[in-house]
Amino acid sequence: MRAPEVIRPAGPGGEVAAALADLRHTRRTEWRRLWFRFRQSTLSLVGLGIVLAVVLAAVFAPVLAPYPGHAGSVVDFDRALQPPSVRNLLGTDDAGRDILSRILFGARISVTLGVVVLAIAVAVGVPLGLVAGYRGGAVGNLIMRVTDVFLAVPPIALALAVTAALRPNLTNAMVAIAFAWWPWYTRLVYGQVLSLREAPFVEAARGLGAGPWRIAVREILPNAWSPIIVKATLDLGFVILTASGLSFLGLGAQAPTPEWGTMIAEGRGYLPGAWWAATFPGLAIFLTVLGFNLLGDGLRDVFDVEIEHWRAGS
Amino acid sequence: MTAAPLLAVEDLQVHFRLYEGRARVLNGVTLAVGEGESVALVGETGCGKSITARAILRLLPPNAEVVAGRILFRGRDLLRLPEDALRRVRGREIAMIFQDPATALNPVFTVGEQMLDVARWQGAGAAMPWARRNRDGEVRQRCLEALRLARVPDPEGILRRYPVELSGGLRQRVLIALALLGRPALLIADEPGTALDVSIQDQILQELRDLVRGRGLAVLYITHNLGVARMVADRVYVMYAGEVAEVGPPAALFDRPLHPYTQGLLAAVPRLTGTMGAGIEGRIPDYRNPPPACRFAPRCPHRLPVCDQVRPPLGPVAAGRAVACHLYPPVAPVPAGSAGARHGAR
Amino acid sequence: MSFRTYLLRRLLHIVPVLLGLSVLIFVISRVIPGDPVRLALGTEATQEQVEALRRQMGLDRPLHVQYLTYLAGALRGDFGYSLRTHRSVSRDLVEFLPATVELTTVAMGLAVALGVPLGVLAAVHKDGPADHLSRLLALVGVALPRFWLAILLQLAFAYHLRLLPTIGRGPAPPVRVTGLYLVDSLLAGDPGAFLVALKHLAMPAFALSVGSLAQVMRLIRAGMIEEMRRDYAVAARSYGLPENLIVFKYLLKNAFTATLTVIGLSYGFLLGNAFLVETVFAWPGLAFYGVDALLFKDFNGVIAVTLVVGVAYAVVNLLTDILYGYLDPRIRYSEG
Repeated sequence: MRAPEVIRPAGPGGEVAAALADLRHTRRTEWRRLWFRFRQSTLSLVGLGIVLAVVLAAVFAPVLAPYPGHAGSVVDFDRALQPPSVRNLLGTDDAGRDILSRILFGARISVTLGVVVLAIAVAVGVPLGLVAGYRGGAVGNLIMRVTDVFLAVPPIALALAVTAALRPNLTNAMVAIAFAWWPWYTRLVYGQVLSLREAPFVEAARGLGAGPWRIAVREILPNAWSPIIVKATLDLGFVILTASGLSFLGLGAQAPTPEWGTMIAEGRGYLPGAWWAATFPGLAIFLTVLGFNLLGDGLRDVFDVEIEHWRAGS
Repeated sequence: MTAAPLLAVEDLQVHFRLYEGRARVLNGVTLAVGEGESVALVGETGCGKSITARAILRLLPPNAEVVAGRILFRGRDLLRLPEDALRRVRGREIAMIFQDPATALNPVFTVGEQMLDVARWQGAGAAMPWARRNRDGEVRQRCLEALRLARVPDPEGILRRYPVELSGGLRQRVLIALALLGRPALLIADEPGTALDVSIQDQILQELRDLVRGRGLAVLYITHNLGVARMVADRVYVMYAGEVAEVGPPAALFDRPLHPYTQGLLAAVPRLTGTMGAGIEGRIPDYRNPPPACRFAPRCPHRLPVCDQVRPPLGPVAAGRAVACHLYPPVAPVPAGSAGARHGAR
Repeated sequence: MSFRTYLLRRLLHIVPVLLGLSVLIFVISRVIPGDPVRLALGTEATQEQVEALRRQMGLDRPLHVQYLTYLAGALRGDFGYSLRTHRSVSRDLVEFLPATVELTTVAMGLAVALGVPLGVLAAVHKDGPADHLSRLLALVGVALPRFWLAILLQLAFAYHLRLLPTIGRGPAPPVRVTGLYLVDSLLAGDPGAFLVALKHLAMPAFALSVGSLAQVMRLIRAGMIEEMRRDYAVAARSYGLPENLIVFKYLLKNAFTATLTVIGLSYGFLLGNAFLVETVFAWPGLAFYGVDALLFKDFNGVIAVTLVVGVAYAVVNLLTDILYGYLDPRIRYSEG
């Protein structure tokens, strides 16, 4: 799609301004094209919908929850373990707290947790991968060896091992998971950088005299973003899954925090009678992870096409 | 030629369903191959010759649609055959020699495994592993014989090898052997040897030609190389943009090309001395939106107004020669059964 | 580079990685705030008793000395003393490891045994109802929290339908050769014991396998779809070969080989989830032991479990690499 004719302002800066305007227009059409492709897939839209719903629940929990006070350690034994009813749409738990409200507040915890953990993982992992890939040499080797060590055990196991060293609470669980998660990004970026390092536009930049940092950040990174975004989206779901697993085992969020995993652990003792206490929080986890997976898959499909276009030199 | 042809493709039309629309690639292809005859189908990349070849054995991809036409083989329309009958035709009556020996053999199985399985199971409805033990000796002999026919040195050893261990030329010979296994009456050779060195390609083509002549096999050569067509064929079809432009014996065709496209093709061949050769203006049409009548008209130096209105039928102009061009009105009434006899008018 | 060299290099690569892992875990575990010794002895213990035990366990020495002592011991098979179970960790390992091996192996086997045919079916009937159903299952399988599924299965099959036992592994078979109940009961010639062990294994193994099953199914489907487009698939058809032979022998081998590396990685996630599933079912395995060790801050136990998990993961990945090389001759014959 050609950019529309731009009125070139007179004067020496005019050419640059015109070029920038052209660039901005192209970038906007890029986004629109991406969105158009994304819209094609029903499943991706469903994923987006779920994710938005979860985020909204997280943000507006105090407003949406029918019993906002129940998120804490309120006790009302008269109404303990009530089945789902009009008063409590998802029933109550062993302390008489409304499960629906707690799930909504749990969304807040999960979303925050996911974002924080991934922010750390990306902030640590991506630069390390950049350095290892572009610089190479002894430093690069060392970084990748360390990454290999961290990746030698499955992330859940590593996160669990770290929690042994710390007091069990939500913050420490986040630290533990971030500790286990960053190496995946290093490895991902490392691979990307290796393949992009020899690309013609990088050569061009080098030829123009750009220093290594400039190349890494201005040339390579923008082209490596899409797999990172896709992976981060998918990981949001898996991090939440891992965290709820840790909480379930008692090594993460502690009662009375309405974390979904903790709620399942609490409700488990009242099976099979009061099935709702353990079932609904699990459903929340499942739907959230599903949403992020669908969204991530949709993004991957959209970006893959773009990568094809780029590679084909269009 | 008065006997009914072994293979007769009549007005074959094939469309492809693409994301961006419908590509009307084959627009009424008509050709015939007689018993023991070597026929070449020549055209540039993208003209639809490979698609024609694959259509014969119904090996087209799922998004392809045969819209019209018949493919008669020994009187039966292959397009209408049920699945199991078609499977018995494949390999045992018509066999294909594939173009790229690097990709046409499964890399994770030995040559022997693949050949033996073909010899054992071709034409069967389903392979049942327990039913195979008894005939293994005979099957193996057939494979060795086919390899010898294809001039493969050390056939026993080759059976034990993986495709990755063989040279390109050897692999091509294995492909030939595979095609011969079922003792077919018709071979379809899709760009034989194009993936190989020119000298090896030459050798293989000559051996193939001798083999075919020796056993009285009919062959349909698909090629973009005029030289190859001249070397191996009794009759040449020139194809452009999903249609047959011209038919004739190679010598006459190349010495005196009639269709402007053929003329352009021959003029484009660089000579050893002198000019590089001239190209033909323009590009092959977009099959989603092809020219309404003659598909070559937009590029034709002799374009007439009628060329954009009426599609020129493939009409005979001399003995054994036919052209689809408005420059040549048909000369004499068409004897039934001769090559290019059918009018492709729509 | 020949295949053998490639394998050797891989093997040599594992050693420093595992060493690094041991350092990492060791350092982490020694950074514990709080005093696990005091925890173990209880609040009534006197200061002298605490100090005595500390000295006995070598916890008063500098960190690197502790590490080297530990490493020397570990290489001999001595993983120290567990403050929780009051016996050597190696004994604990021997007791608890087989259960986890059995569980994870059966789970992975289930994932492959079910995932491959489903994936092939989905690919062959692409865009049909079977395909859509399988893709839906794949999406669900990856997103399901394994421990939640385990609880639901318990509810359904154990509590309500009373078909399967709720928790545990069941009684040990008459002989103990491998520690794997399925194998041992067969070796003892006791089909009844085999059945009992199987019933106990059913839910935990299934719950554990779901994620990997979904992954395998998706990958096989994608792989087969690509394979069906290849030249050699068209060629095979052109020779008149029957479809079932082409799909299940020739195409599947290629598709499966491509899936192998991911199967190895997937095993890692399976191992990780074992911690959760074993807890739900009170399955007396290494992961169950590990979780207790974590809660109790029994660091010798934690280190040993982590190292075993690391070794197991590395071994499985090595095995898949070997299998890959065996199945795909191109690896063996490529020039370095």
